[in-house]
Amino acid sequence: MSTDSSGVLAHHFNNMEQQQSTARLGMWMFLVTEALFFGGIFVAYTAYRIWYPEAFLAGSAKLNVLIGGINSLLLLTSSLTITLAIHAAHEGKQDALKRWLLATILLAVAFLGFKAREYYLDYEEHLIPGALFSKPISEGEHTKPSPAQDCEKDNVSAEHVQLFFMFYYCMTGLHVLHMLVGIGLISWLYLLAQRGYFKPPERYVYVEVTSLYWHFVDMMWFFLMALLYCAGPHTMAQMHL
Amino acid sequence: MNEHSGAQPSKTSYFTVFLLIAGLVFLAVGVSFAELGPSAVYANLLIAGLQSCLLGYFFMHLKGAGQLTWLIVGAGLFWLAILFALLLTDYLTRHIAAY
Repeated sequence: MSTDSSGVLAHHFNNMEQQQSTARLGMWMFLVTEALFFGGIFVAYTAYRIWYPEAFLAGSAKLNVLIGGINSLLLLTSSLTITLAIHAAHEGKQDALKRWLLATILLAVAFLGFKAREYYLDYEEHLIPGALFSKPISEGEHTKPSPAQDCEKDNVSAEHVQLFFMFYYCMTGLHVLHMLVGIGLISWLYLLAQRGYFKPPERYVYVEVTSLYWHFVDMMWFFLMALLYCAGPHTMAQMHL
Repeated sequence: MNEHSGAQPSKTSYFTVFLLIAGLVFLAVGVSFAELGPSAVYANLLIAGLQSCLLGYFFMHLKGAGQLTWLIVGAGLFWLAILFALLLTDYLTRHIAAY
């Protein structure tokens, strides 16, 4: 990041404030492109939901809102911890910086763990578009109706509910990819912190620009939660891990 | 450039905002149990919008950010609005098999 071996200020900046502002603005510009990237799939979801509202509500009703809610809280807490990491870097507190970065990584990994569990539960309930959607669910000696049969019972199109689930997997999958990139970036920050890179407090801004990306990923999750999980009606019986 | 000088907001403000957004998470989940039907989407989007505003203003340090940062955020929202407006007016006015 800095090409100046003696200090933190790179030769092509007039002063530190300009260097820090440039870093922040660069990340904000990138986040605009990310908003448009996610925007594409959100627009597609909007169009299909306007066309097939009952099917999308029926699909949403089958999602695990407990795991969705837990993941929301985990990601929100990780946003808090990375913000506290900026604070620590700004004050030159290396141990606190490393602790908060590590906490952020652990919370993010916990999110992915719950997501994996959720995907597995979705598989067990045959909530995957394709042949599995129409296959009855065998639970030992009992057989539960397939999701397609549930759709028939609820008088919604199984095809359209599967379309909802395509959006669910694509949108949450895209979000997971962004989480993985974010975990990579924060892990890199942790390694830099280990090597004393953030000893000059002016370098707090590089934690800040990473946090901007991370908060954006959190923001996207709020909208995924709103559009995918909270759309359909849920019952207390669904609240299980 | 009218940027904040790196002065950090207090930790207390971060925790307060965290609790506010967490409360909205519970509200969002609660709304899904309320059986509002199709109009639940307005409540859901309002909650997500509020959460994003709080996150952006406090955690992303838009509070105290310079005019250029706000301009970039505004430009992003403007382009997003174009994306939604042009795509939706196109697709939703087509009378195709999707109906």
